Amino acid sequence: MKKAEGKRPLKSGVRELLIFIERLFLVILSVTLALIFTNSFFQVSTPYGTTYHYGISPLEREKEFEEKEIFKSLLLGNMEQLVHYAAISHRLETAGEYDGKKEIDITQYAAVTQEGKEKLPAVTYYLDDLIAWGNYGFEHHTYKTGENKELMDYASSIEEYEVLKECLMLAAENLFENYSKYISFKEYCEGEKTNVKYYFKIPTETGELCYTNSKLEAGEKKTDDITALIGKESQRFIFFDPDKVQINTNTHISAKQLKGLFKGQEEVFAQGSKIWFWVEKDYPIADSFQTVKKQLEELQPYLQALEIVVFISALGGILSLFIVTKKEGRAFNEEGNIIYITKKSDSFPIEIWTLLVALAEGILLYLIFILLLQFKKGNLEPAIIPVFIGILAFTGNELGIRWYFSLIRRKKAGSFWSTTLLYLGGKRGREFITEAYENGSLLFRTWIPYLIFLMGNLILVLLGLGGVLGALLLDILIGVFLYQRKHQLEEIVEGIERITEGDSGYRIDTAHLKGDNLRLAIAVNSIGKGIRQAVETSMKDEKLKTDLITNVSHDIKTPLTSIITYVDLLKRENITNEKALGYLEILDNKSQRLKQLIDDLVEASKISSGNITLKREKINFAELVKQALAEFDEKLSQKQLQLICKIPQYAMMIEADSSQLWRVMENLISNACKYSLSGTRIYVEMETREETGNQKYQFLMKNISESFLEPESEELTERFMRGDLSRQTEGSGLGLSIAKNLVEAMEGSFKIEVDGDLFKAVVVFNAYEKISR
Amino acid sequence: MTNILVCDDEKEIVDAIEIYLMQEGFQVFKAYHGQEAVESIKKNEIHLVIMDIMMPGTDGIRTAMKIRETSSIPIIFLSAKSQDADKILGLNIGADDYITKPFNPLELVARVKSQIRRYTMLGNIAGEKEKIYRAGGLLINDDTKEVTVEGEPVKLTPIEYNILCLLIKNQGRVFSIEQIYEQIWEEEAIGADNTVAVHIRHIREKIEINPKEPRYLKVVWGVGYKLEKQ
Repeated sequence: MKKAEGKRPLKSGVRELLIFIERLFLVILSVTLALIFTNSFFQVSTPYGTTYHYGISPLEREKEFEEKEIFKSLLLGNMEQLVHYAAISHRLETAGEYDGKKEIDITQYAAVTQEGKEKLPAVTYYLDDLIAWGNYGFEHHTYKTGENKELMDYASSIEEYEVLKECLMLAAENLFENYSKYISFKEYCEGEKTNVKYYFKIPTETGELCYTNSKLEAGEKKTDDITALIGKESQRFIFFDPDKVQINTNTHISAKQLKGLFKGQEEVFAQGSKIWFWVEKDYPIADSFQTVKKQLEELQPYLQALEIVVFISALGGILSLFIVTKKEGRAFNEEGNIIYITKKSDSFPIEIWTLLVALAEGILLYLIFILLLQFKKGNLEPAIIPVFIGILAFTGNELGIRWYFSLIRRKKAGSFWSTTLLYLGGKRGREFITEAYENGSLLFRTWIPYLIFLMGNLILVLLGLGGVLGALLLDILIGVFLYQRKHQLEEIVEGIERITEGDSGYRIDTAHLKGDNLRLAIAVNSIGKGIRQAVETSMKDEKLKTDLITNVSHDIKTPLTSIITYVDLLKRENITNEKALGYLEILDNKSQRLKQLIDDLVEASKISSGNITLKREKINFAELVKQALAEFDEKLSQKQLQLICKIPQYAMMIEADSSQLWRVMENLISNACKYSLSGTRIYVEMETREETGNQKYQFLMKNISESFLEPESEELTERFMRGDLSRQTEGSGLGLSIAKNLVEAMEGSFKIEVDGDLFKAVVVFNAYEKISR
Repeated sequence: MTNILVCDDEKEIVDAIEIYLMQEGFQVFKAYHGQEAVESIKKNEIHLVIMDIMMPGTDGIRTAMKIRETSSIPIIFLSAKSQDADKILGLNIGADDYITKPFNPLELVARVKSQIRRYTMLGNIAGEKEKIYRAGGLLINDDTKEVTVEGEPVKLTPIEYNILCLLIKNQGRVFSIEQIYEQIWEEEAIGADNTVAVHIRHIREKIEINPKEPRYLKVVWGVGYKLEKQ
């Protein structure tokens, strides 16, 4: 009972509710995910003008702030600015202060930024002048150098002048740009604006120069002492020795990254420089570090809650979907058993549906992608994203779930394959070809496949070696196919032959036949069936007829017995009236004739209906003929018929029913007695004949007919055919027919020939064995 | 006086048979169905029964079987059923002879006489000499060269006598025409036509009641001739 409970189909309301729950969970899930996504990104603007977009990877969630990628990025960003600032200030300052009277060799300066100017002469200007020119523009021929010379005075040629002029302009522009940065960075880098501190120790010709934005005093301290001091005071620190590309740090920044940071600054950070960076403990200054750390700390519990929501809604969605999936398509039939049903929409071709759903879902996914991209670029408000995502998830679910359940129902009801476009198309195509093939003209059925075969071969051969091999394979396959067809046809022909030979019960096995052959075999089988039925009916009819004739003959015989007996009694009365005696004689003759007719009738009908049992035994045909002739010895001499016998001495052994064969001979000889012209000769000849390798014994009897023999010889043997003739004579007319049927029943052959008045009867039997003597 | 019971559902046939039998001096009892025949045999001392097979009520076959339960008197069936199978059935259930309708009245009388003689003579033959051969009712005395069939003397030619002697001495054995010829003429049977067969036919006509249905000298078609062992 409990098991049956589980197999029950869902009530429609419950199903809808479950689907709704599933959808609800999906929407919650996607909205939550969107929330997590949007909150994992935030922007950090730095005073030096760069805005950073950070996404927090879920993998980093448990890590400390200092371990996170964002910390590293912020640190690197700050360090880059600081190094840059240090480089600039190195150029613009003298002993830590801005020096407007600092002399700048423009050719050397340009060489720093541009290569291949070393050959140029040194041209020095005051820094102030250059910055002013860079700011306001200048005319080189009016402004003088530090040595109070014109630029033209330095140039040895007009080409060199042009190059120098270029250098001057470049240096002025570059210096002004650096000066602007210097002004704006000065406060950020040197003041209390960032938690990142630096300490650069750079050796000079005169001794050592120290750059720092910390309270750390410049002094003759040892490198390791400084590192230890900084390590103790800082949140995180980096010590870098550019000469050895050596790094000592507790951050994730590598030596390679630092090397990249200082590339191109070799002029500033001369050989022997030592570099320290560190982040102040507990971020006392309100900068990007402090902001990000605060934001992360606020987000942490919030994200965890969201994750739980994600987990629950995913679980709930899957569970409700699973239940509906399991129960989908089930229904009770009339007997209360469970069956699987489909809906009307389930006959819609699955391929088209799948394509449409895939297209729609693709569009939705693309929309989500666009949305997230725009959000990442910062073009969208974060609050909008979950709303949009929720709507899209709802729509996507609505589109997909119908398709999904249809798929499940089809699969369960077993109609999945049969509703596909491929199947329907294939079926239609097959039907079309079959119809075209079966109803098409002979021309279509024979030439079209042949042409396709030829074309296929031609195309394949033109494709090259692979094609030739393909064509060979194709030809072999077609050969095998043709052989099979021929083989099947042969089976059918064999079946036809067997039916023709009389085995009307034979049926061709149609199980493996196809196409034309199948149609042919079915037709042959039905013909065979028809023949069998006809034969059976005819046998039955013949049997009934024989029974009828036999029974009637018994009934006729009883009164006939009385007639014959009383005619005989009458004859015993002493009747003297000649006429009366004559009449009595006729009565006697005719009643005897009637008796004979009845016996023959029964016999003939029995033999022709195959209703006799033959006792086949080995007998001497010649002996039997001699015995038979002896029986008619007197009758022959009564009619003055001379018998001319030519019977060999050796035994002619045949297999036959001796008493039936005697009857045949009796009929033939008595016929000869009755119908031969009085005073003529009857020839009886027996001989051995070789026919197609078989030894046969032949009996031949010839006599001259008394009356004109009109009918064809074959008709002589037909029952009841003799009509007028038989009425006048003493025989029943059935004798020859009986003889023929008997001989044929014993597998011999019986033939009558008429040549004018010459009547010939031929009986041939197969020899039982070779001549024994 | 010999009593014969004639039983047939066709009254005219019974009457006709009665006429023939009475002419031969037999006492005839008449019955028209099987039950009546059985009762008549119980009441009267019957020596022979002539009976039809197809009769209303108890048919001839069953009646004959009933008679055979108590009596061994000769029974001759007289039936319109002329098939071999019918004859074999009739003889097998205990009938002594089978005559088909329509019958030759003289043949019927001859067969009746034959059966009566055999029935009454049974066990009477004693003290026969060596030279006397016997097959049923057929007797050959080789000393006197006399042949009798059921007491009736038969006249045979010397060759016919020799052939019959050969056959009766080897009862049941089948002799081919050649063998008979060689035994009688004592020369090789080259060119022997149907002389032997004709002789045998003549013998049959002399010793048999109906030569076409011989009781003694039988034709074994395609093999030869034999004298049936009785």
